[in-house]
Amino acid sequence: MSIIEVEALAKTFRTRERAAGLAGSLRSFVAPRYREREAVKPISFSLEPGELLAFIGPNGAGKSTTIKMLTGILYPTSGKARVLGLVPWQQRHRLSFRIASVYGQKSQLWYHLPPQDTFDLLARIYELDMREYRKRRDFLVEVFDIGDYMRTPARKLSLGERMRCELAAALLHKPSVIFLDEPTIGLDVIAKQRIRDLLGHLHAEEGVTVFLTSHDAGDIEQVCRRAIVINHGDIILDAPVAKLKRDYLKVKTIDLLLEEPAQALLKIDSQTGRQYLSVQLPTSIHEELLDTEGVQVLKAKGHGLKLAIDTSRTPLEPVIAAVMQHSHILDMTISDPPMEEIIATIYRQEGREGTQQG
Amino acid sequence: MDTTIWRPGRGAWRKVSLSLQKYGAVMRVSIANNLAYVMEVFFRALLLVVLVFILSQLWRATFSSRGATVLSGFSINDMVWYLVAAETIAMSLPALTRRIDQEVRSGQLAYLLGRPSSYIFYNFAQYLGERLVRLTINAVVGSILALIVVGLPHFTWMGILAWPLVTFLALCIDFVAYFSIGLLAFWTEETASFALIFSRLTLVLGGVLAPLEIFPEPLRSIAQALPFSTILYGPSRTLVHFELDRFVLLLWQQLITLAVGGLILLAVYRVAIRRVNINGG
Repeated sequence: MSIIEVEALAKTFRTRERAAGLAGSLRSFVAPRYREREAVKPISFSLEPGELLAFIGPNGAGKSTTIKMLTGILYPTSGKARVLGLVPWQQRHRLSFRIASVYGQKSQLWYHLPPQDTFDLLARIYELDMREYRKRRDFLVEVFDIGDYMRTPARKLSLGERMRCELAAALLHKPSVIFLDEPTIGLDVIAKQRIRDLLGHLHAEEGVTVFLTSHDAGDIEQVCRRAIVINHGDIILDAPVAKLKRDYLKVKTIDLLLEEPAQALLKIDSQTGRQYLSVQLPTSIHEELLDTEGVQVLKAKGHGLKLAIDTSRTPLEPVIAAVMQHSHILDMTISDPPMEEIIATIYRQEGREGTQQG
Repeated sequence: MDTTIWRPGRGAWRKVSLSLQKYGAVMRVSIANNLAYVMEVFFRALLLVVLVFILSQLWRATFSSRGATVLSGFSINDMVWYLVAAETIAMSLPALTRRIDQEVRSGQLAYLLGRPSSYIFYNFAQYLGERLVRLTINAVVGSILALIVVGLPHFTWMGILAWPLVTFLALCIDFVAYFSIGLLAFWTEETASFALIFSRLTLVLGGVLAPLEIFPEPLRSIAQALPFSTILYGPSRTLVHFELDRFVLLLWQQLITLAVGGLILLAVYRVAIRRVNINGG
């Protein structure tokens, strides 16, 4: 049986319109006008036990709304859902013992107290057997490597340290499903990586089902096996992450700060006027890397150079190595395409596939 | 699926015991959390000292100008200890409305609803922990002042035994009021103003400057009939001037106030939760 079953689940918010000015306020008091916002259009999907699902989309796509419906906090406008066989909004209390939710921007650790105290409190709230709880707590402290912070007041922890404690706290009662709403938001690259590694490790050890929402493509790539992309309340893609990577995440953007001026590495095509990266790849005898090789110059100004590399055609390392031969690299950032671009690409692909089929 | 980590409740007693442990733990954690603020509470207690000292001097002057040793049944000793008792409760009020307001606005409420504990009881335990810390420090500091200014109190044993019960009920009434006001954050920006109004009404009509006996009629009767008198005046008078029939009357008044307030709280809470359920908070 699926651990999460969603059938035509939808949510429309009705808000009262407030007109500006005194006359407007009076009017909206006497004869209110309502505005309806379809946050989640009827969506359907199911999750098997042990799956790692990434629920991604831009801000306002309906991710948090969906999680709130699945955790029983929000009542849907229509549709059905079952989590662990229970209807979330009708059996919330029972369900809350078997699931956990972590919201990246909210904390459940008591501010002035060490995580240790919050953990002990959660043990009582979830009605845990104290002996089992202590074993479980020690195990999680080791896995999450938070032994050093257990006695430090939460307010003194960095965001990354606190997030690890939050995750450990959420897992104390051995939930079968864990809902993570933007767990890596605001974290630096290293802290993000740690959280992702921990989630992967935990899944391997305990087989917990993970439902992760994010607008960071890195979260999906590294943690999840399946991705559902949602935009304007609609599911636009439900595919294995491998497919997502292959089709939509293959282009990486590299931002370089060079010692030499960027123009020194470029060549301009006299016919088209376009700029090309002109460096020698270690394995190639060609001097130029044309667009067909999958390297595109996005921006070249002063000592800054921005490239878009299609990793399905050219891996990153040789390109960077070649650049390094021509100039010292003072700073480098490699980033995934932003969510908006991924969505746009999906729509484009759909359009193309649509015309191919139609 | 391994579910042996938690024990399902067996029977009503087990459920009650688990709940008590649950909210007892919340209260303990709240106490610990508030001990981090102990310096702030201590400085507030000094404010209590200043207030009570000034008031006690004013009353001394009033007493001597009237050439009386007793006013409306209260000696100067009674008066000062009454003021300390009333201010101890009055100045121990935590920022409950503000916290509930913030939890509603920030969406933290939705997070807390996802846990297997009652939002109301969780907050009550948290509030109680905080209030007890403040109450204790106020009582200690205030008592030291009163001892210095007027010497030992003339409490009766009955008064000392009855005081914790009626004070606890007073704290519950305060909780019901300020929690309900905090939930109004769903509909208004002005929860702080409503809370302020309630607290001022409590101070004025609840007898913090003087026992209600000092008020002229008909204000005295009105004030005594209103629920505000059950919060400060009632417990403080019970301690300083215990009278059995008044104690019983106070208990009734507190219980009725609590029942009515509790119903209002539940109604507001229900509507608020529906709002979260429909609008996401």
